[in-house]
Amino acid sequence: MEIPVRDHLDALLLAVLAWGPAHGYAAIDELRRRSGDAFDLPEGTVYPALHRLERAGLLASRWTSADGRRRRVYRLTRKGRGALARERREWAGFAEAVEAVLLA
Amino acid sequence: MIESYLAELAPLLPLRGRGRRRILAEVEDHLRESASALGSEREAIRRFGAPEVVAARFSEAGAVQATRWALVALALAGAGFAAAGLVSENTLPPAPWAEGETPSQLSWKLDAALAGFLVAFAAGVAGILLRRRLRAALAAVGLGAAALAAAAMVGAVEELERASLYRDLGVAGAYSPGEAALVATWACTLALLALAPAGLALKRTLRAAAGRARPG
Repeated sequence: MEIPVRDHLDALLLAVLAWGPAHGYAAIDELRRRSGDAFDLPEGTVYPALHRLERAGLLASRWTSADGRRRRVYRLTRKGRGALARERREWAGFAEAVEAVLLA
Repeated sequence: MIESYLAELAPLLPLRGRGRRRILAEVEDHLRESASALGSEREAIRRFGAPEVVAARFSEAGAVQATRWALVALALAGAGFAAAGLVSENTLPPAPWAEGETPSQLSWKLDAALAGFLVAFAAGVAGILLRRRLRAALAAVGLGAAALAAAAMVGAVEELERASLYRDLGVAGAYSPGEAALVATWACTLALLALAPAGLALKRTLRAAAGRARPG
């Protein structure tokens, strides 16, 4: 199953990071795991989205060190939580409307 | 193989200096972790995506940001233009001709500068309203920047011609050469302030569009 995930990538990343701070690789891994491998997008395209969300103030990030490796860890900000709540409401409304038509 | 990938990606990125180093460090960390999990650098790179596609997404994200900066720059340039108009109004002595009898070589320039300012203002408002649609917002900002830059240049020429005419007519209080240079410098600054960020936003959008043609 191929799902056009790009239009929803920002919301999906916010949702993944709502579970806790993570670096890019872990966030992508979690996204793939939770979607049951349905979201298979070029992994490199996730980083521009992370940077964009950070610039918008929805995420914050900092360098950490683990196993002798420097990593950029992202976390959801307060503004990001608000944005995620809005995205969830909008998605629920959209899904409900589609189901009402599609599955009627 | 990872080093080659990073070397290919680096010049395609829209950022320089610290911003570029940060991206490359994150990409390298990702690729090494992925290669370690998959047992193959080639597969890790395949999953990450072609350098052109990744760089295009960064350009796209940068284009959104640059368009916002361009909107702010347009607003500042617009405020600078309005301030210049007010200063001019209070600096030059009253016109030595009756209202409605402004020499035609000045009146059309005044009208053109005012029209350019109004177009820039309308385009700025449109840019704010369309800010979620990158191409439309960028078109509005580009139009606004061009209109404001033209208005600033035409307005400055009008101002300097007016001062010259005042001098010829022996009206006291016309601009000194130093003040005239200040007017010209201010006009060029406003034009640059409006055009440069709009140009940067356009450049990033074009780079993103070039990469978007590739799958991913």
